[in-house]
Amino acid sequence: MKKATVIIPNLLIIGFILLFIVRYASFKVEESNRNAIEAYEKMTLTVEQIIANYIEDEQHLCDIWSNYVNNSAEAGTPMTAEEAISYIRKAKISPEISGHLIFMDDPNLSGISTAENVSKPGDYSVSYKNIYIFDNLESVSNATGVVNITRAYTNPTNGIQSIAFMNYVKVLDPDTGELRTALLMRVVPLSLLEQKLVFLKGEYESIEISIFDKDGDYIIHGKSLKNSNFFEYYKSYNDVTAEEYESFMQEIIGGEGSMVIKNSKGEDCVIAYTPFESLKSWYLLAYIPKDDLVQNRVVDWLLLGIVSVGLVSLLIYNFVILMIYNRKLSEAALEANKANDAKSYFLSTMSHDIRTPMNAILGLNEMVLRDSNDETIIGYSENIRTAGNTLLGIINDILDFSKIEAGKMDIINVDYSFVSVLNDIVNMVQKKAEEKGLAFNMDIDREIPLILNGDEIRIKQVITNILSNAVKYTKEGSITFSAGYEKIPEKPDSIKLKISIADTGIGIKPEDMDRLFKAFERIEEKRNRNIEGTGLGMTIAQSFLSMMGSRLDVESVYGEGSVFSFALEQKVVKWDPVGNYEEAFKRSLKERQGYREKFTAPYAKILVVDDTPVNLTVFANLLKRTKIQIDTAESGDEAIAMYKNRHYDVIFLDHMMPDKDGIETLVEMRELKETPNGDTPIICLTANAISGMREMYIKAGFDDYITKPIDPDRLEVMLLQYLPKGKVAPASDAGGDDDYVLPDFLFHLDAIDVGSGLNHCGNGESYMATLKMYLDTAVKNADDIERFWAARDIKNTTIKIHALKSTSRVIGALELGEFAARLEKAGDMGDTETIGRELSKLISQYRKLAKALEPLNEQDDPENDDRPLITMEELNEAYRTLSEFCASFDFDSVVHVAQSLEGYRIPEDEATRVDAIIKAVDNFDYEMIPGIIKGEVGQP
Amino acid sequence: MKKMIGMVAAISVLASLSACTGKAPEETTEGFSPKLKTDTACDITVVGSYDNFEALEAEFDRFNEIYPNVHLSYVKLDDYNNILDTVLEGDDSPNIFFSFTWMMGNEKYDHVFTHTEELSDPALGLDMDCIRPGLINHDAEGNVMMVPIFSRSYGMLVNKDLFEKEGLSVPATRTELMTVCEEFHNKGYESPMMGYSLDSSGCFMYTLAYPMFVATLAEDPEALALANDLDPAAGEYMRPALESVEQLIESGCIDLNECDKIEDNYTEVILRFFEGDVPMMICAGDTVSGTRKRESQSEAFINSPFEYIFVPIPLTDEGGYFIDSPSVEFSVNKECDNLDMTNEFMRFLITDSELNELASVKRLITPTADMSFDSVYAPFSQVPSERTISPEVVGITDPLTVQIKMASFQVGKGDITIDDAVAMYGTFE
Repeated sequence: MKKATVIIPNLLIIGFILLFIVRYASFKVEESNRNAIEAYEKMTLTVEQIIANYIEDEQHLCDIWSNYVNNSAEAGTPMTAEEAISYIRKAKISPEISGHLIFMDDPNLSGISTAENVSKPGDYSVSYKNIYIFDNLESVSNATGVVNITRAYTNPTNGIQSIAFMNYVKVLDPDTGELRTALLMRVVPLSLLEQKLVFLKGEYESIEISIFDKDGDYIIHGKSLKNSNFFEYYKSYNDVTAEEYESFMQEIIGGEGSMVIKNSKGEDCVIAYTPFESLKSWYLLAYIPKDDLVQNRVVDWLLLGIVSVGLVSLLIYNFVILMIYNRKLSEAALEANKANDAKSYFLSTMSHDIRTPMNAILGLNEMVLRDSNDETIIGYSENIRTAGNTLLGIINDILDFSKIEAGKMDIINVDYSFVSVLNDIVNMVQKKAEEKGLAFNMDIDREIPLILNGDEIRIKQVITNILSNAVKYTKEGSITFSAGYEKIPEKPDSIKLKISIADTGIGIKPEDMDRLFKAFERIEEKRNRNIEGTGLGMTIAQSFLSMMGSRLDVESVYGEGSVFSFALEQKVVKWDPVGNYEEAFKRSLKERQGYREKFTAPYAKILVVDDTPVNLTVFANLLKRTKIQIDTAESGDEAIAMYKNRHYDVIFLDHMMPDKDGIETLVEMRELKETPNGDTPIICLTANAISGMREMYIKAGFDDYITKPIDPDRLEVMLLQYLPKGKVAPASDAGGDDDYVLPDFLFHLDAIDVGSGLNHCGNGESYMATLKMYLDTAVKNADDIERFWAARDIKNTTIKIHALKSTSRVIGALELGEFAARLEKAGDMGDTETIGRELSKLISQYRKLAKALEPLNEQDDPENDDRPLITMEELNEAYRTLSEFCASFDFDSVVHVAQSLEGYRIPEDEATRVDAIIKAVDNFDYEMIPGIIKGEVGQP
Repeated sequence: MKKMIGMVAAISVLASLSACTGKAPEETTEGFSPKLKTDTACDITVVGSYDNFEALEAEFDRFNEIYPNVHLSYVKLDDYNNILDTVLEGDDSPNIFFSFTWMMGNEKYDHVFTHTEELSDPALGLDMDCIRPGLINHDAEGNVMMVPIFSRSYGMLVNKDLFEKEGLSVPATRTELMTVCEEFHNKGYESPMMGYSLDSSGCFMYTLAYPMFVATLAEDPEALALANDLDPAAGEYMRPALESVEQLIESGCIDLNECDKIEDNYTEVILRFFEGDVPMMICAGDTVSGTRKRESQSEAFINSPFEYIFVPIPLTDEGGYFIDSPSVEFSVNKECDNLDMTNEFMRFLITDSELNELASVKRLITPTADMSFDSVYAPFSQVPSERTISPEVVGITDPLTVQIKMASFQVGKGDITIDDAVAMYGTFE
């Protein structure tokens, strides 16, 4: 396990927990703050009440004074200013408080004070001339409950900052005897007002209470509130626009509330404000640094710190423990890997060691099967083959499972023919089904695209596994293999290949379904114990499908049968449909009879290298009927020596050899410059069948590889792929040996494709006879053509050219045949210009080829004719057929029948006639043939 | 490696979470060594005539960094000049109070000085050397009863950007001044120079005339004596100054009608200058103190800010005068409570750094030798010593200033002729 997968989630969880704590703490702090601010606002209201009460009380005392003075006046006994002041001196209790009686009609705003001027003892006069506090005198009212108050000012008699409560009084002017209006002021030091706030200190240590008027000028203010005007103070230290400033002022004087502002140090502070209800023009402002109001935050951080340390400690502890266990697990994994490596080594060894003797067993058994005519022996041999193949299947299953388990199984997509896949599948399964008496049905959608792209090998393996299982578990009835497809709308170049295999077998119980895909599980073990298998087939199939993006679906009715199906996305390479595969399949079934070599190649030479002599014997015998010339070598060095000196068409090289193994030998071979085998394909012969071998061999420089025990069919298919086409001929229909040796020079003639000639003629002997005939008649034919053309006999010229075309094609002179065909066509169309231009060239090539074939005459050996003797019945039938073809001008068929006659020995009494016929054909004198048959015409 | 990364990640989680808990140490005022116990708790009150004194309040905060429990407050007294003696006599007398040069020798304030501490006493430890010598007043006994915290001068605010825009240089001589005014006039500036003219207090005529008059008297002790005695014979010494005022108005350098639109001698003067179309605004240094705050109050200046300086007015061909006069001074009430801490505060304040800080915040001219820290006032530090005049040192008295103030105002307004003004010397009130 990666450390990051432990650390990152842990850190995320820690982060989440801490985030939660921070958010929660923050929420709690906010809540606490809200509560604190609410309490703070309430406190502000309380202070406002206290101060308002005090102010009202002071005003009330001022009212008492003024009422007394005014009552005297109203009673007709007005007091003089001196008497009024004298009364006030007696009435006031506090020595700090003084009374001023100011005559507002005096230009100097002078009057009398209850206290003497401190700097002028005995002087009780007072003047407010230069003290501007009477701006709102018009609002001064004697009505009860109305507070008439000044701003804070300097008391002119004692220099103490004070406020004054006012009322108008009527006093007697002793000089005029008239009543005179004066302003009676109860002058109170600000310190008395400030004393009312002292009680707050206990609750809020750093609170500062200020009072300011509607203009923002302080009546009293705390030390933190700089400036003489609160609004100016706010503007100085808070970065606000004119609109924000205006809004701030309106909010402050608009009602009660609180807000956070910056103080002169740039720190946040909380102000709570409320207007004095009774004054209208005064406002109370409580100021406190925000940090002093908002507490408990430190405790939250402490908690957070402790939790953080705890969680990180836990993480570290867990991580250390995890590391210790990881180390132990790593050691255990290392041991397990070693064990697994040992297993792989064992599998590799087992593969090699089992497959090598199996090669000998199956290979020699194959020889027995091919060569024995004893039915009993063949029966035994068949059983050996069946048992051997079963054993190989088991080994292959185990190897595949090992690859899948080790994660070494790769899906390799290649272009493949779906028909080829069908062929292989059917070849593998059909016979087994037949042997058990089961009907094998096929339902193949004719429109399935022919060439697809996918992992052909694995698809075949999946289908084969399912089909093999179906055969194994079906006692009677049938197995139906269906293939169809669906187009994929969003992927126009792909199809969904749908495969299903239905059987009438024993079926699967619902409760066993889950075990179907478990490795080494065999359903109903007791009932099926006689059925061979490892229990891996379905597991492997399912694994392969999973790797290819599909899955195996199973529907089954116990006792009735099962349907296995899957759908696989495959790219389409060629949309040509596969066509009617069932028909082709049925036809091939009819034709399949025992072993039949796929081809013969008597002129091909191959080298087989293996350190085990018996393997060399098996290899050579497996290819015996193909007539390939096989050289063998038992060591790398021996092989290299042969490689240097003789040309081979294909080399099979064993991998595991003592001294110099296959790969070393290959490397040495490839490094050789002077060798006739520079382009010769080298195929690895190996018993190693575990994962990665194919890649390893191709990477090492091999062109291909084939596993032991050697599958004879696969070997022949491989040879067909690698042998030069010219050296490969179809297998003889007669089934007998075709030991006729063609002269070597033929293979060096560019104008002739020997393979094609052999193909047309059926065997070497027939081919040689045809070639000689072609040679014998060449001079005359060439002359005839030239003669007919000189006479501008277009018809006969064309007939002769037609004959040249046919005979040239038969001997494999394909180019000359094509040339003749072109001129024949020109002749048919009356195109004399083309014939005139090209004919000399054609004749020249014809003569050149004839010249090249002349060595054939030197090799004529009449003693050695082992052709079958034709019966008279057959000969008469041939005569009759030839006559009919001549009558219908079907000269191609005439040529064909004549050639077929060349494959037989002719009874002596008919030899002349037959030779005459053949000569007539070679000379394109078809019109003479009916006469020769009837005996009317002799040898031309 | 991965293990290390894991550990670092874990620790960084902690570190990042705990980072917020730390608090940077507060700056401390350096260069001052407290003499008293720093935890001393007491109250100190400074009284004065300024409505606002935020610069001093900032000094309180700085002092509180050393003495956190000392509560300092500034109180503005109503009718300051008349009430000061009463306040000093009262029960709530202040520790420090504003004093002014003109109080010295004025018998009305003689009693005030009975309360005043002698500040040159070496025991107090005040750094008097940091103050320009011409600004320190001594009484008859040679005692220093007040120490200047700001100085005052006379000059003109110059819109440097406007000069640059019009391709002109700031004038350094009278000839250059007249030329520049003419150039501006030709470029469509109605009044290249402006100033307050509605009232004699703070009027531009006085700001123009006073330095010249003082310079004239400084060169002639007899004339100074006559002038101080308010002898009409001294009137003639006003003539050059009055002629300069008249000439600037008559030559079109100053359009009186435009000046009359300025409604007060402080805020409106500044705001008019900030309109940006006045090359030169005549004013005292006290007015310049209001410029910084009003930069943000002038919409015109916010939209089109410009660089400006305060320079002496070049009314002679040698240049202008730097009339270096104390503005506000601090005196200590020797009978106050907490006198030791009061003196400690004075010792803290009377230093280059604190006085410069105070002047910088208040934007007044510092009384210290180094004036270069404020670019607006920097031109005054360039004035040579022979053209720097301290009226108090010369012996200029307050009654004399009233004469030149009224004479220049009335001549400038055209109410009287220069001859009338010369003849009326000693009679102006």
